[in-house]
Amino acid sequence: MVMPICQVCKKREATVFLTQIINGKKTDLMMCRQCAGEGYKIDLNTLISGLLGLGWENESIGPATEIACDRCGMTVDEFNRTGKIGCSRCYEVFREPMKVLLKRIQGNTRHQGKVPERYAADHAAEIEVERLQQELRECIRIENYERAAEIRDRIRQLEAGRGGRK
Amino acid sequence: MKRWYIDKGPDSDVVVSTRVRLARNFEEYPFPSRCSRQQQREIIQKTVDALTGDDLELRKGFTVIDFKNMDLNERLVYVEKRLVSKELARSDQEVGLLLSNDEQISIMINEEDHLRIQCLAAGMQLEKAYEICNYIDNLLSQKINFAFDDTFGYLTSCPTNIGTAIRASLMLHLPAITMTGQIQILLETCGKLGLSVRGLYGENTEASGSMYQLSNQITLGKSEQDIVMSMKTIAYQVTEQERLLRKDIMKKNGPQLEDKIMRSYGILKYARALSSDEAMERLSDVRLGIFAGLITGLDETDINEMMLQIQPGSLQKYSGRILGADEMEAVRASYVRNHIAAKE
Ligand SMILES: [Zn+2]
Ligand SMILES: [Zn+2]
Repeated sequence: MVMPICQVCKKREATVFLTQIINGKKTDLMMCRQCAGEGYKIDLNTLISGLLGLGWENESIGPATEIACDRCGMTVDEFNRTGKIGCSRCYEVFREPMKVLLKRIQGNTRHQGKVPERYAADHAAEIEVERLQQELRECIRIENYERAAEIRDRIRQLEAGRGGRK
Repeated sequence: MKRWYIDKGPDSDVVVSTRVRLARNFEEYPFPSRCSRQQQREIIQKTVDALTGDDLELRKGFTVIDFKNMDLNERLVYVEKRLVSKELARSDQEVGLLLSNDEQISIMINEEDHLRIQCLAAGMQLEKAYEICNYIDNLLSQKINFAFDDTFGYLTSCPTNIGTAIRASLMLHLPAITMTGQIQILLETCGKLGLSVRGLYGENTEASGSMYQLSNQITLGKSEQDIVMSMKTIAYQVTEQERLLRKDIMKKNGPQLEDKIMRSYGILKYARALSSDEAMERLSDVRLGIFAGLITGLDETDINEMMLQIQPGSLQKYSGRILGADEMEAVRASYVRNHIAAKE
């Protein structure tokens, strides 16, 4: 049997095969033992590096490369080099490009799993707001303005209750 | 529960072991790569306090391992037992390890994320392993504010882990799927279903010992239960396929397969030098022989234990010194000989 060649070093035989689906697109990675030896994260990191900031350049905030996290100082360039986020605040600072990135690597942008107890109420409110916004659009479309006004009030109420925590 | 490698779990003819891990980060500190050493030390202390603070029972059940001051080979043994990651073993930072005395639960501190809560079990025990991780997470959450975002879920150092931050893995023994050349198809199918499959232990041949690790790739947008359940469903299908193929090979090529298995058994019993690849291959054959009813003196826990103990770090620990390449092969053969002789 002829073995394929490692895609990382392009020298040794590939013995480790990694198949993954990124946003519906299948990606095959074949690596030798040495290149894959670092564990199953390196390949993903090389795949995601360079992705943050894509499709973000033309937004009003300015070029993505000039923004840094006000807490830890991470920049888009740094992320693109390392594939690692600096701190939890970075996710706030880079929220929009992060959504684009997550859509690509996870196929999703909205958490559906466990919620820590102290966030449970907030989390439920956020999901409710999202649902109401959809209903609001529908009400406006069918010109049911009375119901739309009710929904708008309810959204304001929920958002105020969350105390501005985003 | 017993240590995974000496326990007989459900479906252990195909599923060797289960591992579930959750990544968690402290809200008030930057992720580990941007923490100062002082901050890293604080994180270790806070984790130890949170886990073992009030609960005397729990305190007795866990040991704080001084991982930072451990020599490299000793660290390697922990990697080979799958209790910690290679990243933790290689790190020169202020890393920590909390280990339950039955080696079932390990909490890695200051790896890629502040905490990696991990549970290991024999055979197919995904739900149980998740429940245990979840329990530890709830316990720690009473004392620690974990970084969480309404939209993104649990925040992690790498966006590939965000959301549930769960990674569930199964170690599968797939000799029949490998022998019949169907492994490539399996890899592709699992890939389409959002799972990754990679060979384990391989050096020069693909996935030596026919051992593969199946893990979820997607962590965001599905609940932990959904992730665990869909993985379990797929793993059962793979397991059934492997069982059918084993029967099929036995029916069509029984004598040849039996010969292959018994030759491997003979080599393990008498060889004076074994490379890692050969030992894995022979142990894989013998594992198959055990479940085919051909070999009765050993069971799957012996194979688990030998596959683990023939790794370099464990062999060096066994012989009490650092070994050269030739010596390593001789010690490996002697370890395997002794293990089998003691059982027969
Ligand atoms: Zn390579
Ligand atoms: Zn930051």
